[in-house]
Amino acid sequence: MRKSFILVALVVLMSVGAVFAAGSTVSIAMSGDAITLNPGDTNGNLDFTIERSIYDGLVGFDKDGKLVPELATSWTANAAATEFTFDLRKGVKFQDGTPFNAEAVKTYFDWVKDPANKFKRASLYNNIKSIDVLSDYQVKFTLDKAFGAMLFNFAHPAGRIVSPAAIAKYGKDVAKHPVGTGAYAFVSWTPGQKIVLKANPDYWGGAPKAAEEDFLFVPNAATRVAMLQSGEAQFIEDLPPELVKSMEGNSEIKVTAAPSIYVRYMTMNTQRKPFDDQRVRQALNYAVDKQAVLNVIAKGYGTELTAPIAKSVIGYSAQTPYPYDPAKAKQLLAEAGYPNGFTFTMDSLNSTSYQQLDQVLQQMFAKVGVTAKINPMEGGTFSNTAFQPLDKSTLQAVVLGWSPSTGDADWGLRPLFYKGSWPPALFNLAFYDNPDVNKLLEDGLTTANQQIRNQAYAAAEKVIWDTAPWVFLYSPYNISGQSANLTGVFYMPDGTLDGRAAALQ
Amino acid sequence: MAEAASSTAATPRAAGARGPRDLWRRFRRHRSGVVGLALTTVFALMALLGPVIRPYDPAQADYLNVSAGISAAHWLGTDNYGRDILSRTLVGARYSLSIGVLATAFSALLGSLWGLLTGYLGGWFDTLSGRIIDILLAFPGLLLAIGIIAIAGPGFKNVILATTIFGIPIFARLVRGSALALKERTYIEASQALAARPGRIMFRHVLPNILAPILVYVTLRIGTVILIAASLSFLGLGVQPPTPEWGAMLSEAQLYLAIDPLMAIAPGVAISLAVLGFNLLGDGLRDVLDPRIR
Amino acid sequence: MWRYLIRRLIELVPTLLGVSIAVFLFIHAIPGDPARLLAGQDATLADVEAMRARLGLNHSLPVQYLYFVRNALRGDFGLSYRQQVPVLEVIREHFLPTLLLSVSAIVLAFVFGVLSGVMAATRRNSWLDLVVTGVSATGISIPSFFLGILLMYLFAVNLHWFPVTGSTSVRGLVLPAVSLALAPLATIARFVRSSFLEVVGEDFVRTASAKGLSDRTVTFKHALRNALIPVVTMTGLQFGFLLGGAVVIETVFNYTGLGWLLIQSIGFRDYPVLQVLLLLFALEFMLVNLLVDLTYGALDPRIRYG
Repeated sequence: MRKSFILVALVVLMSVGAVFAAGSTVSIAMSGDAITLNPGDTNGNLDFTIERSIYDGLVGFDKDGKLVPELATSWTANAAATEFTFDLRKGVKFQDGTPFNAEAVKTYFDWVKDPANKFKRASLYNNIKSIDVLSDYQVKFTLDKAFGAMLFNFAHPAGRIVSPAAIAKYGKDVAKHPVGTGAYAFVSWTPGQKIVLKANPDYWGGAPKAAEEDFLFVPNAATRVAMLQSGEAQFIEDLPPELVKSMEGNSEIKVTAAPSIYVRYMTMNTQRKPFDDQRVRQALNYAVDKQAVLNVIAKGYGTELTAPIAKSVIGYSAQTPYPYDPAKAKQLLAEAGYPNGFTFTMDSLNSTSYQQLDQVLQQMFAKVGVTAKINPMEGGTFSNTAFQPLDKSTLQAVVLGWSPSTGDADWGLRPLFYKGSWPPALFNLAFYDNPDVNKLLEDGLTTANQQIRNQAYAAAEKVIWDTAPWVFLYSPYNISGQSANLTGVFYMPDGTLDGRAAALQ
Repeated sequence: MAEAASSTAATPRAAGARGPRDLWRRFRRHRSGVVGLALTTVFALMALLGPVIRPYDPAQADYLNVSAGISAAHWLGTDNYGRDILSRTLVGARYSLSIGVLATAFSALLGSLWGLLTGYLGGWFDTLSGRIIDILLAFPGLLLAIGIIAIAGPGFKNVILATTIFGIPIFARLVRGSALALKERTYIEASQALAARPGRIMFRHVLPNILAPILVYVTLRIGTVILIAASLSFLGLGVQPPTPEWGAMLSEAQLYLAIDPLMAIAPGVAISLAVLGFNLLGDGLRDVLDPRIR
Repeated sequence: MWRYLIRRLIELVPTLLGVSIAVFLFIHAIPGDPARLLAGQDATLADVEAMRARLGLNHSLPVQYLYFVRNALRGDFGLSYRQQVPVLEVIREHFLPTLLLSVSAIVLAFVFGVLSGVMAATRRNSWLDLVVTGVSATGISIPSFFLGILLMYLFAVNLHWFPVTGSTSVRGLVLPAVSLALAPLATIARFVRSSFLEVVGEDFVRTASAKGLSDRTVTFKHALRNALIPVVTMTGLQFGFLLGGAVVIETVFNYTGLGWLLIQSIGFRDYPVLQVLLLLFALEFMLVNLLVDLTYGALDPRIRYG
């Protein structure tokens, strides 16, 4: 009898212990499924988030989008913006024990840009002509021509460095066997379900607080909320604003929101009627009550656009917003020869959030006599429609979003407004072609001097704003949900998460 | 087993001998059949009158009044756009029912014609048709529909197209079996001996004999098609929001279930009842027209 | 019997070949460029072209098909576009969950379907019969995803009895399996009930009763055995349909089986995965049909295969 009592007590104690041990696992529910953990072959935020815990770059961004040192402690560039030299952090080891040094940096970038590997992010680094190891802890990159935004390409999540030993051992299979210098080391990957990481006690930034970090893949937002409520997850990514309400009244969970570099807009084909007339495009900007859009679609979690790029993008310069003024809109339409408005097709993606936005815009346009026919498309069909040259393009207007993954104005403007970025080359779906803007965008790349670059981008933003190839809408916040006792997991402005400092109180 | 199904369908005009009044008398006594008839009648009325009797415009958003619960103004509350759920459910009947009825009618028509032809002509035409039918039937129905939608794109018309196409081989096989069986029967042999044209034989003798099983199958099939169409919309491959199709409504509602459960319950219950109605009606018809069909 | 089986298996070959061509054409007819989708919205044209070469999409369609057949005959089904992992490996990872889900669903459906069908039939017109007929009529009519959503919010979100997402653990399997099982369960229950009633009415059962065999013996030995024939057919057919139904339920519960993989692969235009996945679905469906035909013969001695 006593024996069995002791046994029971033991079992109870052990299970209590197990519960506490499990408490040091932080589970993060993600909105999709991981594809690869090779930074140089990644183009999804979700993969970048997990890679954030495993790897470090030479430089990176902090919470506010400011450039900060990581594996490099300092750096210099020559005046012509063709040479970039980094001093490296000493005493850092990869998770497999390989020392981190200049040779490791060279190995990684040579590997990523190697055309034979056909990696998705090779284009960020294929302007590098040579990489020289100056000493164990100093490395110099020489570019084939001036590129002032190069530092941001290094800060890009694709610039996070993989262990040279892992590259030698696994080759392209690094995608499934990631080894970095980061806070957490890879343990396992169950496709479609989860990726498990464990703390790297030797992390140069200090030993991580949570023993284990799990990334769970849960595409359905309502399911993610349910998992947070039931304690199956401590942090949920991508909380749709309309679900915020369902989390009220539970003190154990809370909503967190942070500004993003994401912009939402309606682009108009500036080469075709009726949007070839600047007055028509401006009219639609006056016709939209941006504050109402924000309240309805984003439930207030966002800010009205005041430039073609979001506030936290480097090179942002504030413009004067188009106020909500239907009368002015009608007047401009009349001046442009459309006193009774017109009808156009508004293409968009078929996700719920886009369709809600489409409908709100449709109602606002209707008030100034303009009829928008909504044409929602599945992703693959949309990309087929979008990437057509002008003579084959059927686009009139598209409701869209863009996020410059480098965090810099160049990638926030050049793919969208530069003449050389017309489809199928890039994403200038407005077929916008303004000589001043073309020139200014080129200027921004000829120097690494940030002050000169900022001036060029400010001037370009002003022209773009006034000629209105877009209806400028808003920049949504990144909204997440989390347990009240969790700290150290947060959204970066680019929409990825930084979960390196995850800790349960 | 498809052979087994078609051979039962080949039963000669079990019902034809009795008059329609006799049939109606027998149907009236079929309890669940009557319930089915009542349900389908209600939904047919909804489909016809829904746009007239609805209290609000189903597309009219009211952003100050989203996800509001039951009230005197909104009997089933409002959805995430502040639209009246009752109005949307009423109008939704038209979409779901027209998909069910039209797609089934088209596939029954085309499938029966094909089945009659192949069953009657025989030879290489029959062999080739058999292969094509095998290939089409090699896919589970929903998958075939998903495939067709993937190519044609989503939308109301394409859902009808997809559900029609995957229904055709089913009717073709059903009718082919019956036509083959009937071909052997004496009265057709007799007409052939009298040198009647094959087309005439098909429509005058073969078709009327298999009308009963076709009618039963059509009724049951409508329910299935409504379900498949709703599944397609639920997966985002069918009728697109903001159209108040029930499956599309359910798909949107999943996100809001914790805060606005009526958004899901109203269309969910509507689909279930409509399908139930057609199933019960079909069962009733089967029992009355020909108790031996299963 | 064996000759019949072999003949039927041989007949599958041309159908399968036809299916493979149909599948191939269908996949390539889906609008959308896999190279563009994989390279991403902000990819340069050079990135996209590099991706196209990496995927081997620069050949003509007939050539691509012949390559596929040639490699497939060697057991090589190519790499998944999205994951860059051999297709068979991808499918294997998602096959087990689906098998587990559909087998548990069909077992649930068969056991409870037969039980409730027999109970209803032996107590014809009792309240039990009424409940079984009512529930089975409703069960066939409720969309599985609606049921899944309701169960999820009742038992996972509000009561916390089961996890919200499906998984291959027993607890994670319950809700998706039940949602998936209801429709075939209802169909089977109806079938059992009606074939049972029919068989009970037939001569040899009456004879057995007249010979003085107990009710129970008559029920189980004679009536059930004969009623089982259409039930097995039906169960097999339902199993075939489960493959389709699983797509929707797997989506509701984020259960990463083959159906989930299918929807994902359509979204990414992952041609190699789609090709093999659809062929597999077709083959599975055809084999189930064949199996049903065979079981049919084994259960009914009157059927002989020529």
